[in-house]
Amino acid sequence: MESVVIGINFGSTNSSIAVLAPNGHFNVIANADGERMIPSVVGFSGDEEFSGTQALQQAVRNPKNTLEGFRKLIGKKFEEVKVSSDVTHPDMVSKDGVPAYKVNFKDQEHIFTVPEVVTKLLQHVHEEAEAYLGAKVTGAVLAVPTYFTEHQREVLSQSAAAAGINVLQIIQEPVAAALAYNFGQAPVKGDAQDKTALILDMGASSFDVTVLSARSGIYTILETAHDEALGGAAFTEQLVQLVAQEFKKKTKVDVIGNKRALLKIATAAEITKKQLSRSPMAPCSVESVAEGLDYHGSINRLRFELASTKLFAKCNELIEHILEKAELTAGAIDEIILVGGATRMPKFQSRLRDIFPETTMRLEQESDEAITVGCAAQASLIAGFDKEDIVASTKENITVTPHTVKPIGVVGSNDEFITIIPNHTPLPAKRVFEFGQAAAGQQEVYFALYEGEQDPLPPKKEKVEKVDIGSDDEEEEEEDELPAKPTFHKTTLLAEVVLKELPAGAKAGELKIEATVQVDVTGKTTITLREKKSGKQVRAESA
Amino acid sequence: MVMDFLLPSPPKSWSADKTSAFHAKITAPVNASIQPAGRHFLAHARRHIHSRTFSEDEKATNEAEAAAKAANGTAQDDSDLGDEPEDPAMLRRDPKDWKDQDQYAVLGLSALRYKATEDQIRRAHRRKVLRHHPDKKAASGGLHDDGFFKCIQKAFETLMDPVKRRQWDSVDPAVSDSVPNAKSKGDFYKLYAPVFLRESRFSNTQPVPQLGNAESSQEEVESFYDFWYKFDSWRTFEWMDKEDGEGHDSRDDKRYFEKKNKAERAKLKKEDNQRLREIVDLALSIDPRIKIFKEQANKQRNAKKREKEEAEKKAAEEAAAAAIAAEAAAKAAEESEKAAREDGKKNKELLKRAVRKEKKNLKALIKDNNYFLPAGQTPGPVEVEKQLELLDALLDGAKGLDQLEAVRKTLEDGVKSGNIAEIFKAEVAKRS
Ligand SMILES: Nc1ncnc2c1ncn2[C@@H]1O[C@H](COP(=O)(O)OP(=O)(O)OP(=O)(O)O)[C@@H](O)[C@H]1O
Ligand SMILES: [Mg+2]
Repeated sequence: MESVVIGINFGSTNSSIAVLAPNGHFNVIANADGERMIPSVVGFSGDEEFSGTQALQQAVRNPKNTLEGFRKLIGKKFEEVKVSSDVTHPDMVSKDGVPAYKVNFKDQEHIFTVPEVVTKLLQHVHEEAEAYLGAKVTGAVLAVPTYFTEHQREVLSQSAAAAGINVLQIIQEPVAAALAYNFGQAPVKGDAQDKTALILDMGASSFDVTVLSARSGIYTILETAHDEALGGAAFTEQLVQLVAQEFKKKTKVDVIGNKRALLKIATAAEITKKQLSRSPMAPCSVESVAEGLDYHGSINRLRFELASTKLFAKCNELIEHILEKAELTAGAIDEIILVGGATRMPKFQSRLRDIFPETTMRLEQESDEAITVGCAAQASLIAGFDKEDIVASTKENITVTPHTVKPIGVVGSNDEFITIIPNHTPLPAKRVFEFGQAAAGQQEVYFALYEGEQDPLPPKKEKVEKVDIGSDDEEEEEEDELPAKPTFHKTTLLAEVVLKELPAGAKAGELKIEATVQVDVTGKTTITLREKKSGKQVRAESA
Repeated sequence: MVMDFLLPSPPKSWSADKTSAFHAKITAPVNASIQPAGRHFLAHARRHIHSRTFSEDEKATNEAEAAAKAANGTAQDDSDLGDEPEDPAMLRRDPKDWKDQDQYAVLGLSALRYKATEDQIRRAHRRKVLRHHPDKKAASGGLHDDGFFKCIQKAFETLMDPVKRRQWDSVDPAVSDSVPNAKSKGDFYKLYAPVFLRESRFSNTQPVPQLGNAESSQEEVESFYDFWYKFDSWRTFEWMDKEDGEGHDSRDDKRYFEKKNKAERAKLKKEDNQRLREIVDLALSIDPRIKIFKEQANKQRNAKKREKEEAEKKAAEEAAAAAIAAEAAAKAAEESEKAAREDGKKNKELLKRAVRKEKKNLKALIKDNNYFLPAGQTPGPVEVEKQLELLDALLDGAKGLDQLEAVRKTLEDGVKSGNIAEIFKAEVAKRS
């Protein structure tokens, strides 16, 4: 049988699998029912054990024996779980300090630890992959949120191994998303791309914001933050509240505190919420909410957005907070990468435009598939490597590297600073670029290298709290000032180099001078100037 | 990266013997974690592990790549195979009729055909198997239909067996074997080069000389046609054999079929040789180079004759021309003499006038300088007379315009330096 490597996104709500297709694209694969998302749910009913879609289908009927939201408990101790709001199941117990679920299975009480449940789900994912591909899966790359600890990653790795998966590597979710978009990876030889991305990932249970720099294709996370009160589930909850109120108005029955009723409404609201991303109005029907009474209504998008105003505002606050922490202006962000199903909400995207009126937003990939695709890309990249080599490459002696603190560059014609090696560039670094000589017949050229500093940011305008009426077209568009690209000025002259005896008689700009600047891990700088036709060159190295 | 400004000359203060100066270190770098993902990270790790510089690493990876390519072309990259859509009718084919199927199209190699390498066929096959394996189809809820899968296997068998592949390539209906239309208009090379290229595949001798272009030498063109008239083709027609189908398994039947097939093959082979010959004949008949070569040969033959004729003609012409030239020269000489005489007259007149003017100038010069008396003193007639006498003497001594001019210049210089009196005296002494 053929063998392949895959990417697995094990989300706390949904999981998915991607693989390199013959056409060079990465495809997210569908299960037997044609679904690409596998709910991260495990359930037990009678003598049977389910995972994925089937497990979710029996969740309302059988909540006691349905396990979800277990991903974030990976690697945690029972005590840690008890205090937080993480308990998603009524019967959580400790098994040797590890959180575990007590369920009824085959007419008996069973206790499954979190890692065991994870194994069950991953086993299911693995089987789906092999069934679809008709091939043996020989390795997989998985992704975890940036806030996962080393221990949590280790436990996940073991759980996956127990499911029969050969874990090639576990990478960070925002990094996987960046890889899915080939962010900053495309440079042709020698032509480095230095870019900065903002990766916004709103899944069901959390909103993760990450600033990621790509320097010559190497990623560094500059800042990251997340807020678990801002996941897609929080938005669904707004809808649940709306429906509960209306149900009470119509039937005089209060469902507050009625867990089963709320769960039923939530299941319907989840669907309604997704529909509202596509259409301005969506129905919501729940049969037998409470006391045998049904609910049939519809909700318009405006109402939903109005109810969620605070949540949307908080999302933007978190983004602005992280930009500030990273000492970046909105203009310094080259691309925004949208990840996670909940970033499909139109209002979320339009509110982003308040901060980033024109920044490129990447959402060509289905937002909840970007991570999977990135994992598959990484998997196919390292498929041929020895396991030891992969492990060795992720060790600190390689991944912890000196980075530049300030940009290094040259000064252009009107005294503006032009960055060659930006700040946050991992060392050693090398950049190659080209100049012409200035005057006709000029036979010596002079190259000066400077360190620079960002110009001070313009004072922040006091934001007037906008009364959000929830609709784009009714909003009074303020004069939107484009966030300025940060500018720099020179501070320190680092080095000067002169290339002499250039071929005589060249027209202005005709001679092409290639400059190579290299900075090694200690900060030692090497500059090479070379005239491309004659090959005449000079090389100078700092002490 | 190209910078949009130009490099200036070094500043004035730059000392000529220096090529570089380092003034400061960059701000001390700080440690941070890079993400172990993506191919650029892998390159970083590789450089680190092998402690290679950027250029060393580039060299090493380039070499490794080249070596890998040389060792086996099985790089993961299948982009060379294209991604051709599958004709639904083809997918429904009955594998029993595999002999009639397009062996290349089944593997998705319609674009490459006889040019497909063994490695490409292998990879194309693997790709198709991945897509059409019956187990997989069943698993994804499709019909348990392995018809097309069998077609794939048959095509693969055919193309991987060198003998069978030649048999199939010999009759591949998707590759034209037609003789070009003699009347078709257009660029000869564009029309015929692809024909010869495609026919080349049948040659037992490789490489095969190609049509070339208008620049090809006569030698090349001649050896081209020579080769193609002696073309040794492996094209064979076994694929068209009539099967000794069921019910015909008696020895007689078999022999009968064999005989018939053999005869048919021979006939087709003969026709094919005929066909190729027609192509070569046709090309030769309209090859513009051949025409040119013929013309050139003709020209050469005529050249000597013409040369001789021309030489004779030239000699006669030259004699005539010489006579005319001599006459013309004589006439011209006469005329120029006359002109010179007249010119001489005119010149003398001019010269006289210039001399007169020059003398006047000198007189004025002396007058302007107060007859060399100190300023304020009015020159009496005696002084004037004396100086003019001296000037006359000087003018007598200074013959011709040139000398007069020289005298004036010297005197003018004297005026400038304030010692005109002495200079004048000296001049008089010198010239008279
Ligand atoms: N079209 C849509 N409109 C609005 N929300 C959507 C849409 N599609 C999916 N969602 C929401 O996205 C969330 C699931 O996203 P995703 O699959 O990325 O989560 P996850 O990665 O499993 O979870 P987490 O990131 O919290 O671990 C759910 O809350 C879902 O309601
Ligand atoms: Mg997620």
